[in-house]
Amino acid sequence: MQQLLDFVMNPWVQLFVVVSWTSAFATFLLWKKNGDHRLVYAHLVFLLAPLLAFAIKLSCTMSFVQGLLSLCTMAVAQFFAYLIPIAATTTIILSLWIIPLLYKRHYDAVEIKSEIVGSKSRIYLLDTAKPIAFSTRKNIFVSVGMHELLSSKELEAVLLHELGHIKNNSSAAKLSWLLSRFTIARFSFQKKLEENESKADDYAIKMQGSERFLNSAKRKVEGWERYL
Amino acid sequence: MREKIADFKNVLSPLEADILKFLWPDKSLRVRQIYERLKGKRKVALSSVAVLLDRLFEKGVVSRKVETARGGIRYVYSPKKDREQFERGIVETVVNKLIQQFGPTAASYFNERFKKR
Repeated sequence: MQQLLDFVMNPWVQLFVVVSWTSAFATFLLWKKNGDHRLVYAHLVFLLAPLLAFAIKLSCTMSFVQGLLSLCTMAVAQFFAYLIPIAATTTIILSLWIIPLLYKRHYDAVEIKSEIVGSKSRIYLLDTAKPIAFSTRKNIFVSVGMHELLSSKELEAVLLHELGHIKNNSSAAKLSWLLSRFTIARFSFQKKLEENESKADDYAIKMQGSERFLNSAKRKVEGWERYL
Repeated sequence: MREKIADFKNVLSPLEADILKFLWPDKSLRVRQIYERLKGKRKVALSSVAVLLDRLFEKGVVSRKVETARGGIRYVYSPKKDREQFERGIVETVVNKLIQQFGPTAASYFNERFKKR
């Protein structure tokens, strides 16, 4: 208790807390205004900075005699100190490796060739009759049902839409937004996702020069959903 | 008489029954082929035929495999059982269920029913 009091009464600490919380608030406002998903991580750093400082200080002042308790504090301090790198690494591993792997396993995905998508990203075929298509960071997944229902031009529109997602880096944004949902804020998530969808649509329309195929593809997929 | 018994109204939807009637003689068909044939008879969309075939696949009535050809990638559906086997399967499950649930009552009713004939 005395340690906590000492820590809080220190004018430097007070300054530090004020600065970090002000920065957190500023980041928050900025993020809310322009909606850049990377600001989520900056916000987390600033928000946790005072806690982190306190945890480190506590572990330093603990004497050796206190044994288990000091060990515990060390662990807590290390956890907080590494929290941001851990979060970032987990995000990268999840989005690059684990999520695509899970999708491939779940649907028995096979890689296929297509001229529309360049050498930068790969297309995988999902073994399901439901017309679905989605993309992770670099991979595009399209189901057999999508191939079955759509004409070649419509399929091209769908692939271009997914390519648009890859160009905008939508999947990373989605993951960051998911993270922010658990930690800080619960709003502007839905809006951002819709915005990403319309951006990908715009890309497909721009590349094809017409929105006819995209719209008819959407109608066909909706037809399937209506019948279910 | 036979047609009348086997229209599968209680087991399958009318469209599903129609699809199976095309599949039994031809063994393997694509969604689009079935759609072309159904189009004359009923007012259906391609996507609803695909949904029905998917449903039949999930029920275990038909099997499918992916075919990659010049016209793109698609499923080829084929029936798992022929017509006789399918009908027999339905009768088996229904009768077994009746006996399981009602036991002696079902058995005595079967006796009565067969005496009448």
